[in-house]
Amino acid sequence: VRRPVLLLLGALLLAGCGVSPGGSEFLHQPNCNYQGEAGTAPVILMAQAVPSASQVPCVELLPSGWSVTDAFVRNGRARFALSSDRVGSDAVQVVLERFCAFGRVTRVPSDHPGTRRYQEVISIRPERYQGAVHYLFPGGCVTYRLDFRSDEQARPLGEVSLALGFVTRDALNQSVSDYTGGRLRLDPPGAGR
Amino acid sequence: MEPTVRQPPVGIGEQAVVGRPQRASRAGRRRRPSGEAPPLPRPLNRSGRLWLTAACAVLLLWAVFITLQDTAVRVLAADNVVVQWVGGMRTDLLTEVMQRVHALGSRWTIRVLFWTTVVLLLALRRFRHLFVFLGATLAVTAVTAFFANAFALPRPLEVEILGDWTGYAHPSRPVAVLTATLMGMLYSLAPTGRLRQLGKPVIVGLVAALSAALIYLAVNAPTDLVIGAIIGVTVPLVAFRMITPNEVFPVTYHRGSSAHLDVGGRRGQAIHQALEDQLGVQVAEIKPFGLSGSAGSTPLRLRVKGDPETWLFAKLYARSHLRSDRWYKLGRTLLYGRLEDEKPFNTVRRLVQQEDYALRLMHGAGVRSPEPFGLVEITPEREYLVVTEFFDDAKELGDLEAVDEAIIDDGLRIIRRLWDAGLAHRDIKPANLLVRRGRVHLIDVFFAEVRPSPWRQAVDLANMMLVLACRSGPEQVYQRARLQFNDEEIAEAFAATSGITMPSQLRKTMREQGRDLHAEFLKLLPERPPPIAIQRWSIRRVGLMAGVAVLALLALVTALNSFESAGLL
Repeated sequence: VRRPVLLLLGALLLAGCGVSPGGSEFLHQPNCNYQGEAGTAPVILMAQAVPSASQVPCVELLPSGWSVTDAFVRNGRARFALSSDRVGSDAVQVVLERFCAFGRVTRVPSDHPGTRRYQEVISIRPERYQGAVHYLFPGGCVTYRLDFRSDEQARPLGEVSLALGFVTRDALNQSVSDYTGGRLRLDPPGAGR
Repeated sequence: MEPTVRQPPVGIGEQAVVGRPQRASRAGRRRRPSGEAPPLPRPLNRSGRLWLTAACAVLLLWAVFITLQDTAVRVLAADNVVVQWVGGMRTDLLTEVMQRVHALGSRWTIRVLFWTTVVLLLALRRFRHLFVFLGATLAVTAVTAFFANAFALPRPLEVEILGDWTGYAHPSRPVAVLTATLMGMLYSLAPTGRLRQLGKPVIVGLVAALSAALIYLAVNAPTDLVIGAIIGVTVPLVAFRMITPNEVFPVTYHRGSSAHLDVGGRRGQAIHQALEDQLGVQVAEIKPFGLSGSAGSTPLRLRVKGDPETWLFAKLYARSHLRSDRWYKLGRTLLYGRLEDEKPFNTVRRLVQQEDYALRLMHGAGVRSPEPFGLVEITPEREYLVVTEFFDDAKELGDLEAVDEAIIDDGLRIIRRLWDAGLAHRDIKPANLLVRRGRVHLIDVFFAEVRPSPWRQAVDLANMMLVLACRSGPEQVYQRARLQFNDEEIAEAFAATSGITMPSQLRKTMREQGRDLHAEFLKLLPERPPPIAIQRWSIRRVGLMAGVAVLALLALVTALNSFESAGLL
């Protein structure tokens, strides 16, 4: 009995780890682009979690020392975190929802087209900065919850702004269509946003 | 102090062991040839093998298909056709019904089913089934989560999703976990037979209902559900069939110690066959015997065919008893240190060899104890029988109305002989002292030790005196004891004895009589001896205590983390 079980496990592990479609990056990193197409598997799942969202948060380019951790997606809410070797683990939590709850926010010019940006400082203490950045767009809202365990604020904030971006729902629809050879799209036909 | 009295009193000095007139006939032994299965082999049965093979094949094919992009897209497209077709039937009423059915796969439903089963298995003391249930359920959640993340397939596309969901779609976590939990409940709580057979279609019905709801609400596609169900059935089914096969660990609801194994069904047949092949004994009936006095094995009475019919006694040992012995010794080491030899046995074979050896040793030392008939292998390295003579006309000493001086002398002489032979019985209690034709016989010699510590020998004497005093009086027993032991030896015995050195049955008997016989004996002694400390402290013991505490904490934290990540907390 043991031999077939071990063979099966070995085969499944190989299948799961090594030869998945598109490779590990496609499967596990919420990247804005992969091999010329918009979005990866986690980004598509995030789009399914908030079907009204016209834009979906994603990672443009991770600066050195940053990594994606703790992705969690369920209907109505999607979340992933960025950890840094300088400002701590889960230093940025990126949350996509239909609606956002604001604190004492200030509207600032947005660095992403089609979105409105609001900024919030929660606390500034020695070696700790806590704040939030909200992006509002049709059908959704994205919040970056910032928790930097460092005296530095400006530099990691700049890195986060560069690292994170948005992909439009239309681009994801096109991406799914391209991936499936035109057989399928992300949203039902005629779904208006 | 009186000099040591070594001579037994008049009338009690004859040979302890006399020839046994009644012997079971033994003929027709047969050696098991190489390659032949043992009496009770432990393979998976046919349906278990079928499930495992089918599951292996399906999962392997699935893994290959899904890793090829073109095939994966075709599967997704085919799935979507079904989901969209079902989605076309949506009505408000049906949607409401399906959302209610969807609750079958919710975390709360699973939590209620899971923890109810855990509590029931704990209450029933069915620990082996409990561990398999916990392990199988956690394994299913882990395997499902691993492959969901590995394949990262989206929820059904081009359709509005109406139900709650978490994470990737394939394989379906709610179906896998609900199926695994229900299968676990069936195999750990429902006895084999009608009830279990009835349970299977119920599970199929519930899982089918949940699957229909998941497709209707577009939470999952058909292949997500099929693969989820395969994982949910296969893991617990194979785990229960491998680790708790019905023949060995049947689910029953009769009262009794968890140490006592069922000796009906296939195990009963195997015992019949093994006794005939290995000892040449044809058994007409196997009956559990004296279960209340035994917690470390399954004691049996065997009716042997012949004219006249005779009886044999047997103790069935399995791996569960080996594990119990290990835990018992670990517990003693933690509580008292290395008070005695606390090295555990490595295998069931060695455990039964020890008992057989002890029986032969007692017999050779002239202690009146059952004549050993040999060992019988039921399942190699897993289950063995120790077969001995059966005292069919004997009564437990504790069951006698009163004991006379002859019996007191006889009991004390057993201890004298053990001392002289350099042995200790280590479990002197009413259930292990049988009186037959006016003579005391010592049974259950599993704990016997060669060249024990003087402390242990002293405890044997004290326990024998306490047992005898339960059915007579401490003064009488003390006076008779002084004929075979000097005052120093008796004082040492009661200095060595305290509550924890007395077998629980002996403590219970004294409690029922409302007497503190130990204190009464101490009053009779010419000088009250200082108690002998039984705590043995060493660096090893402290290290072991710290290690066990750390391991227990780690196990608890790991279990809680596993439950939490599996959504069971």
